Amino acid sequence: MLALLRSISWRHVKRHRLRTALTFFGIALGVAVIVAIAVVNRSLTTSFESTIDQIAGKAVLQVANGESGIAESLYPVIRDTPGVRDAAAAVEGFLPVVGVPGERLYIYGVDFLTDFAIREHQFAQAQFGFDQALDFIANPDSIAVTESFARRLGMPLGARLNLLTSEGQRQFTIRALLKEQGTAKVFGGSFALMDLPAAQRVFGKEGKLDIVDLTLEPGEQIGRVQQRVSQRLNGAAEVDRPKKRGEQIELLLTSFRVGLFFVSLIALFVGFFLIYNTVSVSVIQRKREMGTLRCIGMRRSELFRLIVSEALILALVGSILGALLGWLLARAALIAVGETVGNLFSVVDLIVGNFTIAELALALGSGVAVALLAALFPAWQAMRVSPLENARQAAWRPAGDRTVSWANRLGLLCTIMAPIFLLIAPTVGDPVKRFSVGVIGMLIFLLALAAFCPALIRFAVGWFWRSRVRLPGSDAVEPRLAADSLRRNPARSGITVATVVISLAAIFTIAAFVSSVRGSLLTWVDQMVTADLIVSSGARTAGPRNVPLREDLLP
Amino acid sequence: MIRCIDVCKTYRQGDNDITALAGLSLEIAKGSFAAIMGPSGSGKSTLMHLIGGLDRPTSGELFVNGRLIGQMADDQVTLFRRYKIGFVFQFFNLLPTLTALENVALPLVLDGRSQAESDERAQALLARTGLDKRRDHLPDELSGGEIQRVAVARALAFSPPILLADEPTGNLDSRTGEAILSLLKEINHEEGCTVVMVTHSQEAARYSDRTIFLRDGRVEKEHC
Repeated sequence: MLALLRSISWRHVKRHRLRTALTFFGIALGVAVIVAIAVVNRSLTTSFESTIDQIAGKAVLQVANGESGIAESLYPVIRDTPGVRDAAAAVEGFLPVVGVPGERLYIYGVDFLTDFAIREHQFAQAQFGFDQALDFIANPDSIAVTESFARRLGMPLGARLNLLTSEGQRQFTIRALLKEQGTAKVFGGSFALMDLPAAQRVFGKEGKLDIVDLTLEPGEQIGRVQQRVSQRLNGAAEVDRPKKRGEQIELLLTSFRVGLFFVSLIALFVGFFLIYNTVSVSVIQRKREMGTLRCIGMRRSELFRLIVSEALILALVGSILGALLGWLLARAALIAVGETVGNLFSVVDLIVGNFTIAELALALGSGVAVALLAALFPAWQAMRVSPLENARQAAWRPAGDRTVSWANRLGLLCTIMAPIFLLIAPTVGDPVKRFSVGVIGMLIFLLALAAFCPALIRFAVGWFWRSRVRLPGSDAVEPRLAADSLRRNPARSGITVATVVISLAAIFTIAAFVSSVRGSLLTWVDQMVTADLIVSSGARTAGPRNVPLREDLLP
Repeated sequence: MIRCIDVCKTYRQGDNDITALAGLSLEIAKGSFAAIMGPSGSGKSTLMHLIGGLDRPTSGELFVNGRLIGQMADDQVTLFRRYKIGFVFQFFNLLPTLTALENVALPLVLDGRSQAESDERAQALLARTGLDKRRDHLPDELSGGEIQRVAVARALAFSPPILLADEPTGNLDSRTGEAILSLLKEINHEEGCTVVMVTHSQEAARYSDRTIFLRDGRVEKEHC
């Protein structure tokens, strides 16, 4: 087989470089989109997990109460629960840096005397001992930023940093520099430590805590302590393992990720038609050559394997290039995705990381599987080429009627199935499943369109033929020759037209998807926000984590 | 070697059945050189296709090299063609992307022979047909006569007992045609290969030992 691939297939590829290149890049682009989306999804998950892990430190349990926070008065109740060794309270949030557009600092307000038991904060100054800590606490404008942040903004120790808080602009003094280790690694170093009461003030959360991290006494079971704390809080807050918080954020991202997944599915669908088109045209073009091969003793199965192998090799090489392109695309996409996720849900420091084996397998698997699927039917057609084909002197004419009627039957089946999926979709309870069923319905409808292409061509050309339409600037001969060619080969022309239809439909589908999401958001905003003017603290940061407006400004 | 007993072949064309062979019976002895002649539509090419296992008879029995060819499975017929039948066509039917050597080696490569073995055999066959110096040329770079020589060399790849030639000189000038016919005659003599040639040309038929005339799908007459 290798010898045949080298001699017959390779020569054919070389002879039709442009078509091969188009298919090759079609596969590569399809795979690139899939890989890029997989990398982005993985990066989102890893980044959230890593951020949660880094912030959680050694904590095995976390007490929180969503955006409302926990009453500070509950802290002793939590701390004194049997089985709890350390309890570190914190207030967290983002604050924009005044005068540095786009720069947001993640402020972690902690009790300096208890937090070190849970989290490791490494200070750049060798001598940041108890006295320095007391000095830090004693000055409410104290802030500790990471070395990388200080370097980026050119702010040495002792420099003044302006932040936009719930009380408006406020100036802070950098009294300590943090090494980028442990918790300080989150959000690319845009991390700052503040004393808890100071942080409560800047966020307008006086008397509130966002989170209390817990470690347990040795030998204590996490589940039991979790139960005990829950009982003592009596529903005033929730007690969960740190991972649970990550899962909650991931749940928020699910629809976003499902949307991306279906974009990659559409890319695969278009890739499928590109390969199908190329292999079909190649089979049609080489019919005589295949007849010769059959004539000199090539078995049907050998011919089938040759055609499928050609498609697989093309797909394999295209997939490898697609994987590389996808990784590069992911790096670019992560910037946009990071911004979108930051605006919609929470700021996250996206990590690209290395290209994983799973992603390489996904690239090769999807590319090769789609190529195999797309090449099966044309290869089956090739297998049916009669050895007599090479003895025929006239150009080959496909069995148009049979192919058209076969395609019509498929189209009819898809036309019946697509509305069923689209009707079922709104009744499915889970939103992700609802979306998935809808997209499947849409893909089946696209398949129906593709399947009807040969019949549509036959109908359109028939009309053209009967009506003797004259195209401007030409006499009737050329268009009628062209129409005749289409009429005689509706299946062959149908494949090409179907590929164009699917590609265009995919573009419109994605555009409609984006437009629909945007429209829904705008409608929702219109319905929810009826005010003509909105006054805010100005410290808009990320989604729900906006800094509240000072209450005394209301009158 | 070849025995046809009441062989019929009908084709469906639209709503009509076209009879190409209507109960044809004939025998061609081993090692002979038979020319089949007849007007267009007399069934010459159909007979050739049936003998070569490219098509199956609608009814009747057709024995080729002792095998009842109409009842063989598709793979069996394919392998039968590979090893037992050599084809030479009017339009040559070489693969345009392969060189002369590669075209001749192709049946051997298909059979799984090593490249070296296939090339060696192909080189010998090209030398046999006087084309060893043109081995690395593509069909486009060869003359009609040279292309047909390559086709003859390819047909001999497995030293088949039967060589079927369908209008082998139909696309060649008379001088080149004569050279090809001489080559076929030489192969027939030297290798004992049974040659069955379809032709319209009386000149070409003179190279055969026996001329069979077909009309309306039946044998009309024969000359030896």
